[in-house]
Amino acid sequence: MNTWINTGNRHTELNELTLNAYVDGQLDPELERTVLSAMDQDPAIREQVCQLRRAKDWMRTGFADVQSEDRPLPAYRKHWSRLQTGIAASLMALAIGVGGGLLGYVCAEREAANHLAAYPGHEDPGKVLLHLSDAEPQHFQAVLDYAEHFLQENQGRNVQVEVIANAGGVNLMRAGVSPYEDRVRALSKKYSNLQFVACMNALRNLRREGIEPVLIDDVHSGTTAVDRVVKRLREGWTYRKVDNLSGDI
Amino acid sequence: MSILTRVCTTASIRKNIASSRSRLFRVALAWCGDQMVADDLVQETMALALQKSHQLREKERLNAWLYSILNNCWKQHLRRYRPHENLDEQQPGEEPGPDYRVGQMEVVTRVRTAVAGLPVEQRRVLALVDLEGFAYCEVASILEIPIGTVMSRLYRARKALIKLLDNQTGEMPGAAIPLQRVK
Repeated sequence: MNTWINTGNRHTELNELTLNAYVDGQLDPELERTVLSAMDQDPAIREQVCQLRRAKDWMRTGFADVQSEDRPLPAYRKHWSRLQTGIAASLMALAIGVGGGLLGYVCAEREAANHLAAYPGHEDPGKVLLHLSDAEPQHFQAVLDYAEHFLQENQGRNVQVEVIANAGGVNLMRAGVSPYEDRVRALSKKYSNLQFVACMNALRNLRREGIEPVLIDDVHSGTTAVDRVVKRLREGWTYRKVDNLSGDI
Repeated sequence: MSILTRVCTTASIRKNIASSRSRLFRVALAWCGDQMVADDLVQETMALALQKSHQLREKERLNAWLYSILNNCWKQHLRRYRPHENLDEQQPGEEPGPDYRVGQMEVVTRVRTAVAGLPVEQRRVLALVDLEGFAYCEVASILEIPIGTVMSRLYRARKALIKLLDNQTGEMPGAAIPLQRVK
């Protein structure tokens, strides 16, 4: 049975679906007022609403005291495998980029895989390793913005940021070449917990090409990017590649 | 968002997942009517949620997201153990047995028995609306069905419940005409 309610300038048809939506608080204010008015005028509608509310109460009562068994949280596999794949891919590209040849590539890949497999999976959010492997100026800027933003946000806390660059990324750290030379110097001076590291292999490749790289003050070298990344991961640092920084800044 | 904020958010989501067990269990029990099955469904849901928590970008959607996972786990369970059941066409029991027995039981048992007698698809909607207070549009999203279907299933579920549980006849009259203005 559908009930027709005169609401002044029009007729509104109330049906069971409407009344269900009313008891569930799903009607817009105008239709809700119409139902309320209909309930005032028609005892049958009042009774229907009452029945529906009772059905709702039955459900709540029937399952009110349900208690689940206290079980430990299920074991789960963190999405580390995805990150691991990404890092391994970066390290592979890195190994190829330094010109170490197939042997170096295979060794680096194996080494990375071994180290990553041993990595416990705990990321310390306060220790961030930013990896830069190309010479795109906007990538330089993204890394510096990210580092500065992170250090500003966490001033006074025990945090550390390290920027590791290889391949074209070392240009960020070269005096007379980097478009952000002054900013790198300023950031190094301002934040003692920020460190820039240039990959030893990338610098050696430049020398092979007849270029003598001069690094900005306070930029460290003496290690390869592969070794550095693996070392930091084993120490629990959070690894970020430049191409996935933009969404987080 | 800083790394720190992001990691804190993930930790917060994990904590919320852990604290959702009882609510998930309540709905799972209403859906399947079996404590052990409900417990397994919830455990499976939580394992999947923890595993995929990094995919959840909007923390506000966590609750609905959890019930979507629960729904998928339940559907898989049904496919595995009751593959021939036609969920949509199943009708509440017309046999006098359960109908007669519910009158003899305590309210909680009566309600649970009556709910267990409803078609699976009606139980699904009823539990999400009445136990968890989800809006119709949220239920439609969780169960991946049109909002009109949510409303008609809810209407039929309550009508059947009233018929089973009310001392009076409780027959709810009225044809199902689509509602135009739902939030």
